[in-house]
Amino acid sequence: MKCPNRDEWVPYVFGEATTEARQRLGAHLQSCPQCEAEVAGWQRSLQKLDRWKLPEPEARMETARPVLRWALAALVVLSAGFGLGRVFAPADSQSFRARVEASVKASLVGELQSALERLQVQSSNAIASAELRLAKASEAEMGRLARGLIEAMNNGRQEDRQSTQALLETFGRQFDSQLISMRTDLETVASLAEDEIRQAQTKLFQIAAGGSANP
Amino acid sequence: MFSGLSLLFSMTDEQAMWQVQMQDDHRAFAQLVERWSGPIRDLCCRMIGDAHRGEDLKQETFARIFEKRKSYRQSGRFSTWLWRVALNVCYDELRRIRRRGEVPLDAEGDEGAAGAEATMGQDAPPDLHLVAQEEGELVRRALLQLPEIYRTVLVLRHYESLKLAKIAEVLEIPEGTVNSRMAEGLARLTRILEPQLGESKGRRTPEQDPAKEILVL
Repeated sequence: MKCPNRDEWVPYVFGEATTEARQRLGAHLQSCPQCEAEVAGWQRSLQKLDRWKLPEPEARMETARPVLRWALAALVVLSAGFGLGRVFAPADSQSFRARVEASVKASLVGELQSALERLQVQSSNAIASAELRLAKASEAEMGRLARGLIEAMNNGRQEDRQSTQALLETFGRQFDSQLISMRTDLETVASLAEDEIRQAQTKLFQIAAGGSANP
Repeated sequence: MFSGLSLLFSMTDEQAMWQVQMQDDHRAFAQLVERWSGPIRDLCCRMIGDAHRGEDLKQETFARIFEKRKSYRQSGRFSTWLWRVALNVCYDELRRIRRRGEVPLDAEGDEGAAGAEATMGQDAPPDLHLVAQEEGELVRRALLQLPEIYRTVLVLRHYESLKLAKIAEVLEIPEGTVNSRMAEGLARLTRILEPQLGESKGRRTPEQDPAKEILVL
């Protein structure tokens, strides 16, 4: 019996052989102890490969490590500072405390002021953004109203046409009557003015005529 | 911003690499690194036989990918290109080690194995953890003893679960060549491991004596 080529066992061992090849090679294994031994040896080797475990990736450690290192460094510096402070503390602890308090107060005031400024900036920003929103909202409101108006106009166009016509006529009539009364008024004014002028002329004539007689 | 993120999540490797290639998109590149970091690290560790160096070589692989982003061909699969670049990084490192005449990986292995054996030699009850560690160490050394061409196909198929056809694509060789390299690699590995880890049932010819192989290596 002719044994299959050694390479043919590779897809078989890794479960990638075609159905035909799998059946043919499987049948051969049943009847050939040599091939069976070889393939079984390969399979055991592949199982053994799993015994080499890799350590967990170091990614998480890498991110944690610098933080830890800095924390340790900070601790060392702080303890050193504290120790030195204790050793070289001025004899006059009262004045030392006063100075420390003053500096702490000063720094606190500074902090508060800057916080206040930040707050102001923030609030003015908030106001600005609120205004912007309001403007946008009113824009939207205007848009909505305009749309409503146009709609109403469209809807009411037909039925309104007659009433509008009537309205226009009324307006026209009113306008006409107003014009007439205005003209009457003007004419009145004009005639009054004419009378006034005539009276003035008469007076002037009278003055001119009897100037010497009646100074 | 959120739409951009969701777009990134749904991106294929090829789309992300295209972004990297055309726009030097760092976010897309970070996405690729995140996706492939684990497999590439594993490949490098297995090829070099050193977990710490493997981590460094993984970094080098991604640095090289970014460097060579313009030469990525959009017609090909990103993963094929990535595996190829990672393997080349590993081969470069192995060449460097050989040139320096260093054998740090094996020396370290000897130490580890010797340490484990020493502990085992005492009358203390066998520590299962130590036994597993020793077996893992034997496998690591066995793989390192294999020539690179055989180790490569074994690592890609067994540890990285690449199909034989994909391995042929990555290595740019015919699938038949992958099969013959794999067959030879498996035969050599079996000859090294069987006497060490027992269960030997395979046939042996005088020239295939595993003891001899180990002495030679």
